[in-house]
Amino acid sequence: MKIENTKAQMRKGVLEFCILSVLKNEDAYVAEILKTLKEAKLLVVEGTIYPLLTRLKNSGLLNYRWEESTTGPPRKYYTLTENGELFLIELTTTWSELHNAVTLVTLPKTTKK
Amino acid sequence: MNKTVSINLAGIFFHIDEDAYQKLQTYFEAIKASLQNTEGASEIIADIEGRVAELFSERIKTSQQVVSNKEVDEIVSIMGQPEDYKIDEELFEETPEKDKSDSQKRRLFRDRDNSYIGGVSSGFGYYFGVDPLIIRLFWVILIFGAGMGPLLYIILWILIPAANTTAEKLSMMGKPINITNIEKKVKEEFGNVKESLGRVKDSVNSGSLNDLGKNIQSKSRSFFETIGDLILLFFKLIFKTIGVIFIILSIVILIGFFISLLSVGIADAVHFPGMDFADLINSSGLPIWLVSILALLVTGIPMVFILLLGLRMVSKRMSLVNLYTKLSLLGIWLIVLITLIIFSLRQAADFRIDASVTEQAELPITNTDTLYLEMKGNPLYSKYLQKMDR
Repeated sequence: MKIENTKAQMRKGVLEFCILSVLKNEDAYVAEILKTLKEAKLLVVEGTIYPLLTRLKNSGLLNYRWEESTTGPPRKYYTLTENGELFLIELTTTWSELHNAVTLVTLPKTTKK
Repeated sequence: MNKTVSINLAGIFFHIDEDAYQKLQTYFEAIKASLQNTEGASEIIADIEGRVAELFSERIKTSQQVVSNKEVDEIVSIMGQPEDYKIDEELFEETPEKDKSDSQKRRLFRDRDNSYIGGVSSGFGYYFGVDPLIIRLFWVILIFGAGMGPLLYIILWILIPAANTTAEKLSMMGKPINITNIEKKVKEEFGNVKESLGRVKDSVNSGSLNDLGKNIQSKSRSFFETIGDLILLFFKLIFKTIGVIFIILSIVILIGFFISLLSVGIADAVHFPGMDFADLINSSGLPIWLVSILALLVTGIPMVFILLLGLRMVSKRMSLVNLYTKLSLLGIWLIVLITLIIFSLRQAADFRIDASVTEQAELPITNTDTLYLEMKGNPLYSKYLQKMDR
């Protein structure tokens, strides 16, 4: 059991949830999504996100459109599909349940000390 | 001073230093290798290339500026190591990763780097983990033994793919495909090229015995490779010719069928006074235009398939129709075929005639007469009569 693996497991488990959350209010292209995730320190390197985005798109949770850019290549703007929104709602409940559970389990130990 | 290479990354043009280019290429190759089993890998790679292009254009101020090693290093540190690109399914599996790399399957490829003829023996050497020399000796014995050796070799040469990419070469050697191995291999190959360049110089100067073997190897390889290419070209030509024949034949047949059935069947164009072919042969009660269309479909659809096959044989990219269209065409064909069979059976039933003729004749003979019966065999009728008797 390596600590690195456990950490990565934890992070990757919530990464999809976070990507969907970023897209909840507005469409964004990869660099914007990356910026938010990097500011939150959820992502160290960018590489991880591309397979995830493609997988989310292929399972019908995301859609994208091309938009021209003045500075570089055209950008893929991602947007949530209807399915994606439903998915996100479900994940949000699961997350708040988990969050409650984790605080409940971890809190008493620290107070008992 | 540095040589530069121009590249097109996601549609954007960049000048890049040669060593930086080497590094970037290795990086992309390693990403491809690590995404090998991921769904939609080509799309992911296109996305990554787009992002790299974006990051480069953020760093390049003028179109004159050259992308150097520094920029590539920066981008690799932003994007992460190739291993980071994997969606770590195995991260969530119970079995540790070690087992996976140990049981890394070796794949059979032809090793063209160490080949005398087609690299079959060397490939087998890697596959079975033995010295290729043993396998080469085995071929030699086969030549003297049964004579089937060369034929078998040629078949294997055709069937076994050559290891072209670095990832393929690694999986031929049974090494796990990861960034360190790929880097090593690419460097090795780079070194080989340098070495062989040096060797050519040396052997020109001295022509020493040591180089002779290598020389023979490279010469025999190029000789046999040329022959192999020629044979391949020959087969390809035959293949394409057959494809062209298929195309022409099917188009001609299709047009012919179409015109004839359209004019005879649907437009009712052909009518001879006092003689109606259509009525003569059609007694099933189906309207003649319907029969014509069915006949056109039942003969036309296979022709369409032959046409598609021919197009495909001529050019691999010519896949005009997708699988669903093909399947539905096949379905229509089967339905039409069944309908036609049912109606033709019905029609055939109309022509069935049962008849029997009985003739009774009194022979003018008495009880005491001797009768001589002569049996005459008739090869033409005997079979037929036998059938009638049943």
